[in-house]
Amino acid sequence: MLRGLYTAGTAMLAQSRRMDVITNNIVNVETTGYKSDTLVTQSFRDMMISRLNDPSVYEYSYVGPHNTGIHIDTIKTHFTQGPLLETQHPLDLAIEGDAFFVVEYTPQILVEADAEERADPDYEPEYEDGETEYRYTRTGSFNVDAEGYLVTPDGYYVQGQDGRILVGTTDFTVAPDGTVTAGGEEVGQLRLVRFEDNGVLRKAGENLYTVSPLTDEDGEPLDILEPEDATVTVKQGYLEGSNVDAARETVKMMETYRAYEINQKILRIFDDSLGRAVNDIARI
Amino acid sequence: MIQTLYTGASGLIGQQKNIDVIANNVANVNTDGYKKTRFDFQDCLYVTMRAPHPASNGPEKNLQRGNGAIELQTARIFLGGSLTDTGRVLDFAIDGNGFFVVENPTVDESYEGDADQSILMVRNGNFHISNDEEGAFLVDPQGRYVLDTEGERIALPTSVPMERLLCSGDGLLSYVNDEGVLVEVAQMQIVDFVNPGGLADVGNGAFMQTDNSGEMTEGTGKIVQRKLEASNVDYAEEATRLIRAQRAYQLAARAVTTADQMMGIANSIRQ
Repeated sequence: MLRGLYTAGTAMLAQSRRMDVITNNIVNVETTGYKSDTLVTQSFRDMMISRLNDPSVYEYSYVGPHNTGIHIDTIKTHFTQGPLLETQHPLDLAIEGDAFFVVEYTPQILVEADAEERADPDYEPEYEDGETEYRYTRTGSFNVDAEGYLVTPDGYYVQGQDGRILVGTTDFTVAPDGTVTAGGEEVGQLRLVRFEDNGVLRKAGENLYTVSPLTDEDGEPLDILEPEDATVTVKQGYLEGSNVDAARETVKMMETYRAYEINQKILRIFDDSLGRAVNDIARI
Repeated sequence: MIQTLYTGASGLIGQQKNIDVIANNVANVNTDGYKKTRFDFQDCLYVTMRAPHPASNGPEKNLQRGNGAIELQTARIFLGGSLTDTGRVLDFAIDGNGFFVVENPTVDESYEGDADQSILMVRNGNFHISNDEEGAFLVDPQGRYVLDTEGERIALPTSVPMERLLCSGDGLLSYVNDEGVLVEVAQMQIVDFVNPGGLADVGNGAFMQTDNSGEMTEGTGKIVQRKLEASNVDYAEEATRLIRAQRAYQLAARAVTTADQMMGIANSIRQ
């Protein structure tokens, strides 16, 4: 009906999505290794407005471009270094530089049960292992599992150059280049990877990232590079804090709120205009 | 918008639990042998927002929206506390990794796993003598019998003044008798685990083996006598954590309030 109604509507929708992203940043201000997100909006493509029923012009002509609102374009994750917090705990590792730990992730797939089984009061959902894939993380608060492997707190195996790292004890040392030494012997070297474009990383929860798409436009697998030696160090006894800037998020939240408010006012004005058109213009 | 409320609420709940953990640490700043815990967060459950237009060319865009923060783990940190001199002959401390072994007074009959639930691990070496009709035994402050390397209760000689009791670095208790001969009493057992973080906390400063703690190995720490290990809680660290938790809580509350106000704005588009 009135184009402006929809334009303001798109803005309100986009701002509410932006508020979602800001809130997620805010509640993750204490999450180790978290990287803050920003919602990027984009205008719809301009439409050309054409002149109708104008007797002064013989040809069908264009007035000019007109825009009908904004939509969410993408979410940009900022991979800036978070602060390094010293904990002195040997199981805490932090990466200083542009690199990620690699973990072996086995998704748990729910075993399908039919309606009868599900109705049983003793029914407990069973899970089976899916296909193992690799995921990436900056969160270095690791544990040692019962068999002695270095794992994340969720139990995913941390990868070294030759696969899983068997430390056998919580008393191990990690050198700045990622070499893991336990009981006087070298038991492995942490595998650290770097991406040519960090924009291919997608957050998948549990402090992990997946890569999407896995291939580039030509169908070739994306390059995962080994980081150049001097720029990346692993620090044992430190954790990388979240890189969320609380002050900036608060300001963004205020901006979003006011943008939402002003678009609501625009919507109200259009609503009033329509109300007049519907109710008052044709009043007998 | 409703999702924003839940996302914000997850922050409030998480920080509350975080503060609980911090408060517990601070309450135990003077508990000998206490090991601090730490609350860690993880982000969770990313969903793909609805794509406005399919991308005609170019790479797929990131539309993953997060849904808050939840608990990753409450880790127990087994860093050593500082050793303080007490001068008391039955005060022991472990300098390094390892635990004293005591007998578990209550055993759960229904447990069917592999872990040995008959023993408990402790770090607090403030031991005493318990006299009963079978003799004088070494016990911890809760009255649990300290075990030797054979798994037996440690019996102390009643005829010898306890001041003469000596303890070597690997836990061998002995004394010099009136003839000047060194008499061995018992060997205290020091154990460690592949994953001490997997031990279950059964309260009163004791830990129990579980399926997650891995194999029991020999402790590498040295036993020192006439000292006690203080709590490993660092008050400055806990105070800093508490300030950060409070600020995070305030921020999350602000986000929830703002989301609520935005919903109010949406509701009042048309009175």
